[in-house]
Amino acid sequence: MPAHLGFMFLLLALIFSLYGFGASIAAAWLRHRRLYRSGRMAATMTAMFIVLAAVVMWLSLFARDYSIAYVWRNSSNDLPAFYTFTTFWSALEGSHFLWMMILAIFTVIALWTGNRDNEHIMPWVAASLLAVVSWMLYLAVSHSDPFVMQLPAPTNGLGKNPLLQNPYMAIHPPTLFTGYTALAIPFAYAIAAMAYGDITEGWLKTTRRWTLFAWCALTAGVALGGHWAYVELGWAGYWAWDPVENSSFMPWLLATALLHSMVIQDKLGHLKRSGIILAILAFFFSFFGTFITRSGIITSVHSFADGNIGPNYLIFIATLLVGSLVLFAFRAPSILPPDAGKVWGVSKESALIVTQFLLLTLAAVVFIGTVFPIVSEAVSNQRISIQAPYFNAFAPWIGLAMIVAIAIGNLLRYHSAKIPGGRAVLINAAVIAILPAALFCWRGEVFKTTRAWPLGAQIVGIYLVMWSVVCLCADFRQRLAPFANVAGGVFARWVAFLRRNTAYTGAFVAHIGVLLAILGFLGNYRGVDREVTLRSGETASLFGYDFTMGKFQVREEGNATLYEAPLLITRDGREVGTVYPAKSKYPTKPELMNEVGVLGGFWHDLYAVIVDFEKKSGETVTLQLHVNPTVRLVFMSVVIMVLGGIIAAFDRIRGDRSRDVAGGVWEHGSGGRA
Amino acid sequence: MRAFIIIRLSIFWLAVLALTAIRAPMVFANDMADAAAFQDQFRDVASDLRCPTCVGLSVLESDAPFSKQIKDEVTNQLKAGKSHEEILTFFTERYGPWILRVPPKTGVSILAWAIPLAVLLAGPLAVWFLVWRRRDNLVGVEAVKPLEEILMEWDRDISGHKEAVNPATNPGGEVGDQA
Repeated sequence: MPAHLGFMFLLLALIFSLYGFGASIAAAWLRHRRLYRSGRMAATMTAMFIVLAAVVMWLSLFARDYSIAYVWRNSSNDLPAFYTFTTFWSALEGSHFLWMMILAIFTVIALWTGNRDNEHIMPWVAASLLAVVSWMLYLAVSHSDPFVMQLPAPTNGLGKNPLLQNPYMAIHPPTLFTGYTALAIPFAYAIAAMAYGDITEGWLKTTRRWTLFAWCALTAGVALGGHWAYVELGWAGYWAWDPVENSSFMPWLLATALLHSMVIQDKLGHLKRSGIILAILAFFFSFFGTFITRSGIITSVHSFADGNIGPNYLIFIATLLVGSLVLFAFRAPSILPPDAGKVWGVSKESALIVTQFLLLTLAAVVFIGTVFPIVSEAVSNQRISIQAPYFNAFAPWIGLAMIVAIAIGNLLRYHSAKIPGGRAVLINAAVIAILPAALFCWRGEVFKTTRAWPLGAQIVGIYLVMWSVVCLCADFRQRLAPFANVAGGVFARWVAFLRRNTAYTGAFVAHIGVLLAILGFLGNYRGVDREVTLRSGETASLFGYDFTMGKFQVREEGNATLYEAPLLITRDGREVGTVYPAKSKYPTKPELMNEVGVLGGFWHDLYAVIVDFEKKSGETVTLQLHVNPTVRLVFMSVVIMVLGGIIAAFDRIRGDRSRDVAGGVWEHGSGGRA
Repeated sequence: MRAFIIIRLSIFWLAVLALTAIRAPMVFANDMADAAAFQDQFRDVASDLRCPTCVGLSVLESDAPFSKQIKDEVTNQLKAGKSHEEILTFFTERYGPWILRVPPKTGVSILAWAIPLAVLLAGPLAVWFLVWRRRDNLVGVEAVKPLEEILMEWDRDISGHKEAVNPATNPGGEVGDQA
């Protein structure tokens, strides 16, 4: 019965969203205010019904109602409450559902919080968003129905994938989907600007904030996914360049490029059209990622034809892209640059262009690396693999260029102006950076790297990052200088500075975060590992640490049975800590899962995973021991990046410096409350 | 005489001992170095082959049964003195180019290498030519100015020109910019 109820809610939501879409289009066409309000109300009802359907799903999950196939396939009686809750998004239909729900909620928020300056384009915004919501709802009631029945109802479910029974899986997908869906708002505004014929006064303000929000969520989401892989999969890495990861990375890269494009748009009024293209592409890639991961196309072109959802996704994203680009081709010429000409030269705007180029190139590499195996199989029937070594052939060089671009770009000013003594800053920074770089190399035990190329890459990379950090700090000091005479002491001075430079401070923090992340990535070059087989009481050493195995034990935790080998870690006889690598067995699944033991420090993580153990007695255990340098730094840097994004979002940037738009006049139905 | 022999013998043995004392760690160190070199070689090869049953991992990073078989085969072939390339060729012949973690640099697959390289090389040039060097954009903007403004500017130019050549209003005698 709940299945029917849930399905009915989804159907109602679909009807409302279709009505809302039609009403918004008509409102935009007739410039009819009340019609638009009706469309907005329909969008609100859509979101409400989707949330109601979601509530039905959650209640069914908790009621263990196995008459719903989704509940039956993805949960079981033994599942703890917390993971029962997260089962909502742990399979295809559910994650589509979650995505749709977040998108609908954001649609409502975007429509109700729309800036008054944008009022005359809001019908187009509503229409674009509701078009996407309607299509997702159509999929949810046709090919990706979460409420398919399973009768007669079994007494127990098939069980949840043990890999997903991890706290990170509770937060990673919603965060990532938040990022993906928040990109829909800049997309909708881009479409609206084109449909309307120009970028309006408050356009940039709104889209910038939504893009920043999306960017923060994507950054956090991608990192949480990486951390999940790190603690759950047991191969001691956090990023494998696999298609799923890549498809979350591409929207991030495009959103980052979009933010940099928006800076130029804000300051100079240029690059409006490129901003529109980037907004479209960023949203396209967030759907593209889902398409390739759920259509089955990534495993093989031939598995693509089996499901219905794949071709449907393809039709949608193709329509999305082609439609947007056709609209762009016809309407973009009406979006004019400001009267001020551009004199690029050596200036901040040029540096921002270079940054965008680097980000887009990396996105192109990731894109090619992700789709090329499919293309190759389709074109020449030759199956090939593209994995980490391919991406690692390009990414470090682009990263290197980014370090330099961050340093120099931040020292430049708009309109070919430079900060006084810019060249001296660059040179002084080159000297000052030697000290922190040396310190980092020494404390991080970089010189223990045995091979020449990784060692060289690390030293050059660490030094350049430090140089870039020093350059950024020098620029920060320069910006702070004019505030030296603000009366009222240090506090008032900082308040005055932060109020005027909120966006800049956010960017500063985020850039420091990026540089620290690169510093963290460099640690991958010096990771060491070793496979050992130990009996209880025996010791193995790696990188100066001694790992002594304690008593092998079997214990229950939640619904899992853990086969655990405690390892006491000492260094020079001093106890460092104990890790508990284990294999876990879940009631509904036959295979044993890895539960890694991690002991983290700033400089490196000690990471132990059980490869195998003597099943009868548990006397001998084969372990893979890893020393993973600067993993903590990578995850810390992500926190810093997100913090930077949040700070920047508080900035009240000026309106758009485009020519004035004589719009905002409703022709019909403009009575009633404002 | 007897004491002499004992002394000589003990010197001989001391020398042997000393030599072994010096040599032993060296031999040991050589073994270690060999083992490390072998390990490095093994890692290089194993990280170039994909784990056939996982997503995105090399056989080096994987403990799947199939990966273990491949790793054993790599170890055997390295011990038999085969080179990195030879081993990769062996696996490519057996499983197809799919087993390698990067696309081959032949046939259609070369595009996967060529396109990013082309973008990386051509991009800066394109940015340079299309954006950076287009300072004549200023002219482009002027071209769409309203007629009155152009006429007004024209007037100003003419009067400026007159002023420029008139020594009375231009005591410096400099000829103004006539562009």
